[in-house]
Amino acid sequence: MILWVEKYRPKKLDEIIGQTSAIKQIKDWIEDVKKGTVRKALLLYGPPGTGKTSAAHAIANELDFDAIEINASETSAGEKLRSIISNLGAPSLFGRNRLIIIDEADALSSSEAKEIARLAEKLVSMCPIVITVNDMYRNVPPEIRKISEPVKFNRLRWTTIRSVLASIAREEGIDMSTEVLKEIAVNASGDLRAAINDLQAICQGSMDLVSEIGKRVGQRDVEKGIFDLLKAVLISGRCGYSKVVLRNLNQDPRFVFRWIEENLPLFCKEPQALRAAYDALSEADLFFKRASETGKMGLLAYSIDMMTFGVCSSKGQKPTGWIKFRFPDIIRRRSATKEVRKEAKDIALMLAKKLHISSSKVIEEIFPIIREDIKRKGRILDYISHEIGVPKEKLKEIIG
Amino acid sequence: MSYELWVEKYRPKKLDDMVDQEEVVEALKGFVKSGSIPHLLFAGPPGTGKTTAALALANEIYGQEDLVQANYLELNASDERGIETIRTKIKDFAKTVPAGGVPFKIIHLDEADHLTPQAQHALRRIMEMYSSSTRFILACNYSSRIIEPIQSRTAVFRFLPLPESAIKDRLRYIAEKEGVAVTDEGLDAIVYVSEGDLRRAINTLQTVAVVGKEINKDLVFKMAGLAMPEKVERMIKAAYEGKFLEARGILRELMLKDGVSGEDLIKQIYREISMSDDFSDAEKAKLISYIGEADFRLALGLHPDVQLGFLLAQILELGSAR
Repeated sequence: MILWVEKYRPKKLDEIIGQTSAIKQIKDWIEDVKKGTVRKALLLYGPPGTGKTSAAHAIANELDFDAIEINASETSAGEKLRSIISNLGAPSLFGRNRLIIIDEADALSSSEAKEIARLAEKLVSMCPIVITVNDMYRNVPPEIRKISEPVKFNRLRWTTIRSVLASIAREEGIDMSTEVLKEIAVNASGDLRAAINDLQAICQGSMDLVSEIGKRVGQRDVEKGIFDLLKAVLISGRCGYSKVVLRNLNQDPRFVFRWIEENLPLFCKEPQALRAAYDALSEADLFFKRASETGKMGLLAYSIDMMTFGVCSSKGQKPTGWIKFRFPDIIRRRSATKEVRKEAKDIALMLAKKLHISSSKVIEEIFPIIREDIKRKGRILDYISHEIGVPKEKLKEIIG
Repeated sequence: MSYELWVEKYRPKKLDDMVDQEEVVEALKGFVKSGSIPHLLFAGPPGTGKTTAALALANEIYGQEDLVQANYLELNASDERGIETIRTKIKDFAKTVPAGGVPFKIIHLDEADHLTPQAQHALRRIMEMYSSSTRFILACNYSSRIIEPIQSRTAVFRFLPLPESAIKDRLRYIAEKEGVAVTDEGLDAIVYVSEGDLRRAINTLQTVAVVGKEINKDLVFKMAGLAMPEKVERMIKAAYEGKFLEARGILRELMLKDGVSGEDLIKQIYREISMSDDFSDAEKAKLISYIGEADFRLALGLHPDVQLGFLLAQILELGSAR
């Protein structure tokens, strides 16, 4: 089964939509390269699914060069680049020139990035380089920025996305209402790749009910992001990359923490590794506390690193076979009892005032008395209900 | 048997009625006689009489119930949301003149050691701001967790752990008044599970009294949150034998379903492991250090389920090395 994102990937620069000024800048660069002028590397930056990788490959097509792609999140990027350099002296198989594409460069660790920048500096006079990143200001090391000129890719408008979806649907012979296409387009928040993936998922699931689509697509952002993160932490073994994924995830790290904790023992079976990984989680927990205690939110960075990098680096062998990610049990149970716990706290606070103790002591020591009393004669319950003015039935429901 | 809560019903109203703490009581009576008090810091383990002493002192200084009502404010640092709400409450209370012609109001701030050092510095400024019309009584478990500037501005009173005999006498007195039968072993058991904390002992007594006609050892252990030793044992065993997910499942059941607190669970794990014959001495030594670290982290306020999960992973590793 071919993915539509691949099938409909633009082959020429002019097919890339919604990035007029970026394309103009790129064409200018191409003209110079064709003339043999040495230019800095092109640094294509912008949110996911806006056309950066497509543009990089389209550049190779327009130049009629061979594209050599290095994906920072997959292999040892530095090694690959070194081997490319050593082979550059030899002519390419069909005697063609080469364009080097370094994809997702913000996933490089800082030492890798330095090395790549050093190598690329040498390389840039020999062959043109295109680099893609998501966030130019957060994760791109200065060494990379120094050797390149930035090209900005904008988040796409939903109307633009919808028109692409409509043409794909037409091409595939699928009858889809504008309403549904709009829903998918809006939901993708500017990410065309995500929108096309959703469209394909919905069509092939033959789900034609708008509400179903809404449900399914609505969860996409959260779950997909977290699944990507879990893959990075628990499966891939690319620890530096997992850190970046979490930082770009736009989720409360405490929430993500629960996902990692829930799933860790499913993927990590060696006792020593599990102990080490849990040690890292425990440290992350410690830094959450330190951050909130001191008000220094910068300390959260250590939590984030411990729960991604720390867990990833200590979890030992890669798991085999396919394992399904689990939703965190703790979050499920907590949200089920959250309302009750809040009410219990309120009642404890009322009693705390009467008893000259803290509410947590009330929950620990006084609630058991009431709980046992409820099971029996209920006389203490009567008394308490009268004292704090809360109906007996309510107390039974909350404490009992 | 009465329907009120015994902790409150049997709380001494006068300093002379307090259990033990003679030295503190003598000094406080001196303040009553002179009609004035400095700022006070009460330090001591839970359930040794700090709150009771503060209340009794207020009763004796003001003499009348309505004056106490009007001039005595009680706050619990662990229940207030930060120093700002404490400041607001103190401000509102302290800005009016003391009612009924008394010379000062009293603010009792319990669990003051729950405040961060920064918050304590803010508290010190608040104390100074209102000291012309207000006296502060701060209570804490450890005076070392109170910043120096506050310690130096308060008269520090140390509440000593109550002797077991004093706790037993008090429990026996209450049981008699309430017409509850209690065995001597039953009393020993209550003293044991409440660890010298008289308030907890009285609450345990009442819980057990609600449940059974006669208060004996078995009933006490059953009711005192130690109800699930088998489960705790099963959890430790599962981890040690390499069944981590099962162990974690039991942990969650204990915490989320049975409502056992992290601290209680740690104590029970400690007890189980100390008394167990399944571990070598070397293993026990390691385990105890792991438990101690987990206990410490709980005291810092970390997530009990995460820290206990880590402890289980350590037990798992230890078991795998065998």
